[in-house]
Amino acid sequence: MSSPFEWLIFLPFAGGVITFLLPGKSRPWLALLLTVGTFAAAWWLASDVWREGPQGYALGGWEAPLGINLYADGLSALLLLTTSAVMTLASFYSLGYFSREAEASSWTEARAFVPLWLFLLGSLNALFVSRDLFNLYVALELLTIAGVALVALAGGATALRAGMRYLLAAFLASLLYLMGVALLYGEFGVLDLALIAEAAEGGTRAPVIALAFVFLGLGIKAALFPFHAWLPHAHASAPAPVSAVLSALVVKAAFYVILRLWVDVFADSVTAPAAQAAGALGAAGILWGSFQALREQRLKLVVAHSTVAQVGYLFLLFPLLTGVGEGAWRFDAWAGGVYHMMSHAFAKGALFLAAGTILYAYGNDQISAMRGLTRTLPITTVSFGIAGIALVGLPPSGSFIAKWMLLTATIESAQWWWAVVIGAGTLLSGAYVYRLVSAAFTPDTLPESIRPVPRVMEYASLILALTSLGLGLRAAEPFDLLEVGAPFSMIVAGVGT
Amino acid sequence: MLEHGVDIVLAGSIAVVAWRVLLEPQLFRSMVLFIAMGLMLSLAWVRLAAPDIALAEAAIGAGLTGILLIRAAQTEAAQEAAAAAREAATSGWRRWFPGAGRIVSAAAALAFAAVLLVAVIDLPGEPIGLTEAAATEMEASGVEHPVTSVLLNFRAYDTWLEVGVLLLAAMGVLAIHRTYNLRSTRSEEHTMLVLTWLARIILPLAVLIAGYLYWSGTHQPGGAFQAGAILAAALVLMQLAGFRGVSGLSTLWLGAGLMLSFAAFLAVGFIGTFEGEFLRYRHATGELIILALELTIVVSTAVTLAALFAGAGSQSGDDSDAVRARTPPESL
Repeated sequence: MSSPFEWLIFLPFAGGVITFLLPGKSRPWLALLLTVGTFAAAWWLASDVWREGPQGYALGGWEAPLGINLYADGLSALLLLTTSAVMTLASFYSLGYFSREAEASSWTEARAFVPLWLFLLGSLNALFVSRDLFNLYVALELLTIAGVALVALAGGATALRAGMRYLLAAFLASLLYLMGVALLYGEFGVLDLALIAEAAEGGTRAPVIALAFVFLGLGIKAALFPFHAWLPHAHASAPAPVSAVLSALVVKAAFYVILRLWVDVFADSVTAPAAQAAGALGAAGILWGSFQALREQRLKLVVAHSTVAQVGYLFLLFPLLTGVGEGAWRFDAWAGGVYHMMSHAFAKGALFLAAGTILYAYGNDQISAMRGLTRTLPITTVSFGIAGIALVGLPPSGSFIAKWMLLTATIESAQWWWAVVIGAGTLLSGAYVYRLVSAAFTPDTLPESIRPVPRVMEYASLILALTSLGLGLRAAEPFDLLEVGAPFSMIVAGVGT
Repeated sequence: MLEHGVDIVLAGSIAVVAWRVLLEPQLFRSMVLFIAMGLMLSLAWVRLAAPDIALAEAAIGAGLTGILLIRAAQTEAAQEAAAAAREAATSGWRRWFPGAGRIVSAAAALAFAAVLLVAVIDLPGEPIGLTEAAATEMEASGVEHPVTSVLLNFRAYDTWLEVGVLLLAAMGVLAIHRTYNLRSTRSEEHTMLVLTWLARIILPLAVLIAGYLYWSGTHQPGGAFQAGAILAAALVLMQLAGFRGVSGLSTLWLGAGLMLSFAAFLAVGFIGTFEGEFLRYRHATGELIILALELTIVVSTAVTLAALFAGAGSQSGDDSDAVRARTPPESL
């Protein structure tokens, strides 16, 4: 076990097996230990990437094209770090959320929760290091089923129905993706991404229909408008740590595959009209998601709709990368998008955890019932505020840098209309965040009975929120790491350094 | 000429039966037709010279999926949902456009098929792929059948994760039931004598066939997943005939059965890292390891699929509190 790749895969899956088989009270602690271990492995891989450049690994000793190869560049490393960091903090949170002082049923949930949780972590890791078109499909399947099971864990008709819708949408998406993969294999005869990229650059254009299937399937999984309808209820009715991880990481995983294929593999096959269409859908998602978030009465649904909007920003990358020439703004757009993924992961994780704390304490999550929050749950209020700042993209958050870079790229590539969308989306998100924060700061008679909240829950969301802020204060290192193996160069783009 | 005739009749029948599946108003009959369609599809795979897929399609696609559908449809919740769907189909704006949903779906499916047809015609005429590369390296893989050497050696990592997908499905079902064994699931109260009699004859045969498929996988079409599916069918039959089957297993044994294969791959992978890479098998022991891993796949696939069936029969969901109350605390 001398490679970080091995630990990234081995630790969570072994933990899933062990925690499933061994009964015991130590389970949630074991889960926490393993997420911390996974973070260490991700750090190890990131430092290898930092020092030596992109890393590869041939499973079973079989090199591509016959075998499956793993690969990590700066992008993979950053997302692996984000994944294990968010999941570690959410695991801390779940120690309190599923604690034994809570009702017996939630202890039951905890028993089912831990193994599924570790499987989810393992499948995220497997996805971010995969360099194989079919292996990505398998990782996406694992991720989907773990995610659906975790949603349904909340119990009750609402969660089951939401889980079922999620399952059906995700399976349709998987089948579309798989169909596309089969066609691409028929065209190129290999599954390894690097080999396909070589062939696709050498003149064989990827067939349009196959690409359409692949990107459509992934778009559904990434909740791109108008394929987002499964998301709000699935994310809102899950247990709090699950909501956090689904919105922060699982949706991003599907987007990561899109980004990887679009930029690294099929850069010569994708067209400008396709890029403009992707951007238009992203823009529609921003406006629609924000609008719905403004109208919702339930806190978790507001946060879930905002995920639809935030995913929309990610799709604005494509018109900035494709069909607009070879300007330096392409690094800005690409890196800004990736940074937005990270920053949103932490901010949205914090928001969902905080929302879960409020639901835990108050017994419901109506926004109108949030009054007096500053006195009942001060730490949660603070993390709510900070995560809100990061969500809107105010300085000094990481999203501010990300949005700034995206805006720069829209101006430099002379596509002002995307800047208008970004501006409008920011104003709308400001509005719905203000709506939540103002409810929290409204002094009111305190609710009669509040369920005592374990401290660890409040601090876990606070640390996540502070991290999303910290990403804006210390951006140089992440951007240097991101440049390792990046498809675009940073040279002219004076950012961060 | 005769062969073309057979193919045309087969393809035509699949389309007709598929159409009937969609149009059949009665849920149960539609499911029976679905099973028939699965069997025809497996014949089509035979005609396409893909016996491995044919076996999997017959055992899983037609057999187990069909019986899962029927089992799920028998529950009260499903009956209510079906009634609600019928209600919805005849109320509101849909009243004015009877069958509008079907027409839209049919149009979408036809458009999809047309797009797919164009895509397939567009593919390069000469089949390309990794067949040759696999054949060259097959000797080093430890088995003599290319499909098995790809599944269990070259791409063992994918197979492992696929085993994980199956496992997660079973874990999800257990999680929704909030239990770790299936002892609380419905047992058949009215079993027919003929079924018990049939089970006694078929069970030994199923074990024999599964064993044969498992063993033959090393050098000819067949293999572990297909063998596991056949064993699972035997377990389902046991359950239907009033024997306990997988719902008789304790928490530990059920968990062990579900986890066996995934854990075995993990262990082999771990040992492989001392030799070189994760999941590396030494050439001399490659065949033994592959046989052992396949055996675990047979067991875990059988237990998992049978557990899905047993789980599908028990009530859950809206009355999750009742389920909670029912499950003994020590099993949680």
